[in-house]
Amino acid sequence: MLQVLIGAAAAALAALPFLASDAFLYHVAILIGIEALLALSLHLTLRIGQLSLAQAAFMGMGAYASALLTRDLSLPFPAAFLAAVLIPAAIAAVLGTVILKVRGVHFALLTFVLGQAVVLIFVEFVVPFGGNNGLMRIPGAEIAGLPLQSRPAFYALTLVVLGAAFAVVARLVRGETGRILDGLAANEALTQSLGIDALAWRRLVFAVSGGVAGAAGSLYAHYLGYISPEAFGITATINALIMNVVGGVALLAGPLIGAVILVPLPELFRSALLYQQLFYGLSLLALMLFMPRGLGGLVVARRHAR
Amino acid sequence: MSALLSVNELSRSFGGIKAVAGVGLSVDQGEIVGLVGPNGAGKTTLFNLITGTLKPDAGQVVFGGRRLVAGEPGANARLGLARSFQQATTIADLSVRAHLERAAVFPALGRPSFLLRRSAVMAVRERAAATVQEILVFAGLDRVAEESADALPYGLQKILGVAMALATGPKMLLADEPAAGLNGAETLVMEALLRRIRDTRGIALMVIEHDVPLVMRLSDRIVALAHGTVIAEGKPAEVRADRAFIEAYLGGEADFGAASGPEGEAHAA
Amino acid sequence: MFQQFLVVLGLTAAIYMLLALGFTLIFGIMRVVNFAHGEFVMLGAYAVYVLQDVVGLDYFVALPLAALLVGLAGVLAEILIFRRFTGDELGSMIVALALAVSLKGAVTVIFGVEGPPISRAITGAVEIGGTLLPKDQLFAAAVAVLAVAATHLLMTRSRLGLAMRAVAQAPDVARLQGISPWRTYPAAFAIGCFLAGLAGALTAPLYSIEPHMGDAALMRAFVVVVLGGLGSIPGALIAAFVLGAVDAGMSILFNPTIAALTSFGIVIAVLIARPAGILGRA
Repeated sequence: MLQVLIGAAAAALAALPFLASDAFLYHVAILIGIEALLALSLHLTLRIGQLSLAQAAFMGMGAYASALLTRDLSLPFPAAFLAAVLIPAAIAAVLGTVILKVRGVHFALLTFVLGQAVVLIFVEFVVPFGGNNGLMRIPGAEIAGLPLQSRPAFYALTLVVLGAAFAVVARLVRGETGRILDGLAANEALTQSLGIDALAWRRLVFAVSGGVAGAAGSLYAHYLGYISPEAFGITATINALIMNVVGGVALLAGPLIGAVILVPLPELFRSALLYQQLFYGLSLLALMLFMPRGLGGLVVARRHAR
Repeated sequence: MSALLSVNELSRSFGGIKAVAGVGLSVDQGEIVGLVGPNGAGKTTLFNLITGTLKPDAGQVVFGGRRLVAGEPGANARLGLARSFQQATTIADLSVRAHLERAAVFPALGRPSFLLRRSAVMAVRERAAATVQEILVFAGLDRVAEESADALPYGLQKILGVAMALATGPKMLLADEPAAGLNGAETLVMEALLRRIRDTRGIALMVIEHDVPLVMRLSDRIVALAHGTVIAEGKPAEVRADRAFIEAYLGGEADFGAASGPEGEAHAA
Repeated sequence: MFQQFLVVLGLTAAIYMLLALGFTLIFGIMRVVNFAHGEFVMLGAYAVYVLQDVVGLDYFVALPLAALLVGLAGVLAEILIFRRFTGDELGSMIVALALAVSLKGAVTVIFGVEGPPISRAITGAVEIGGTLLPKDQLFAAAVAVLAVAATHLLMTRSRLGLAMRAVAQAPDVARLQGISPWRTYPAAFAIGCFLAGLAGALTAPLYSIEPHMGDAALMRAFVVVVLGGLGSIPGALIAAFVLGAVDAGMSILFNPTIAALTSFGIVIAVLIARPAGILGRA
């Protein structure tokens, strides 16, 4: 019953921009979708007990790949989008083989440095990444000759991508594979002794998280039309982390809840842009101290209480 | 008959200290081998090297005619090399049955590539319920099947640990101090279970145990370790009379007839 | 060229040591990765600005006062925030990130996105061995070396230092001997943040100050601490020289971005091969 209600509420919320048909509402909704994708990718790394601070860098890889392939190599958008998903996923899979053996604090440090290094690479190699100025005049999204530049169309695209990403992630963290991941998180030595290859599963999850972040990057690049390195730095990853904590780290819907709550605020109050960081920081601090399971945790707690 | 498990010249050091130094041993099909030795002799390290949890500095492990890959405990478990742990181990807040279901299905899921071969996995899944029920009865856990594993008495949690290893369908079981922390009655139940595992299922056992009388009763053969090397090997009666074994044990800990070792006491405390 | 390299190396290594020392101290004793370390450096810089340019104190009075204030802020952070996450690695990392973002945001709101101009108390240069050295850089390096030496003495000779190291090695044993982690943890934060604040206050007149200056400081501290091993003080000292050499050398040969990329590359390699660092305990 509760799930039906939540599902209906989510559907209503997703349909809201179409009903209101307001340009600004579309804009905010698209940004929520993109941020929710990044937060979802971070959620995946948290599910394998690893705090990856390189997720925005994977988003950057997707953004640059998609932008360069469409703008400079004239690839159609769907092909570029696919590449923007697969390239970060492949890089995450290869990196994961090595870095996922590093655990706990050291993994967070490692991915922090890795993320910064990726941003520096975008800055340093002016060809092809455009240096500090980034890339301009990125072509708009277009599928089979159908342009998706208009806000309603791009919002529909964002919804489709977000829905697909949630379906893939849900498939991964629930059911049989979910049991494996939960087992690894709860008791790795025991789960391995039952025949599970811990590294192979973690690598799969990490690769998917890279791909989801890459999808966010591609949408971001084609929506705004320009990208620059600083958008993919540690701040973006921390914002995604805040969304997870606000929405509830243990919940699949946590990243989405967090994005819906946090993304509109600075957009609604333009003057509040100055206060955005303080607001984000203090809300994360307050949640960590007083409500560590996040706002979504309230729903879960009530469900358990019944 | 060729050995089921053979370990050749296995070595591993930690920061200059040789935990296991050139250990060689073998276990035959359906044999029970007791692994004894004072604390710090390298028994658990040896288990971790055999299962692949740790990578050896040198040496190799051959199981069922195949050379095992170090660092891949999951793959080795799927070959039929199961283990139980020194501490009672559970996966979060789940029922006993749920624990055994996971143990019965996980070997078929091993790597993400299972997502591509669904039919083989479906077969295992279909068999799992029956396997679990059979193991529940075999291990005497059927009456607590629906209870939370975390809420079980310690003795039953350790039985569950052995039962989970059993549910993976192994050819051999490495049991790390199965009786540590158990009281007298629980120890007898555990002993009977281990014996039945070999007698009715033909599964070979290697058992680390500080309860010397227990391990002497249970084992066909004893391997004694001290300072990472094998100091004595043979039938229980032979090893019990071996000078090197007596000295190592009396040097390591005074009370070698005690029902439980220091780890057990530490756990009970 | 080589002489210039050595001088730049000496000056930067001294500052890097100071930047890293507080970070590694807090991790070594409390197992907390203080992602807000860079923000405590930033607070030190803003504190010296307020005391010197707003209140009107002399720089040599403002400097220690700024460091003390930041040390006090560290104690408050420990008591109000970090204490609740003792033993929770992931939680303490997230809460440290939250603190970092909040402090950055607060400073932005109060002082603006662009940092205020800060006056330089020390001017001029001296010539040593044919190289012209700015006096302010020499002063900063000298104070940094003194602070590092004093911290070393404090950790090895004083009762407080011994108590902190006892808590770091075996919290349970230390508690049995009557050493309370509830007293040593705030002390560790006090010293760690004091050192961070001092680093900020010392370098503020050398560079410009702005809300995001802590990011670069944190990266430097990170690199040094990871190379030297998290929690290892001697490791940090050696690693500061290694990083200083890489930074100075690559900056002279190529540019600062390549220098940063090189040091990141080294850090990544070290973290993968030996997560405990080159000199850290496994």
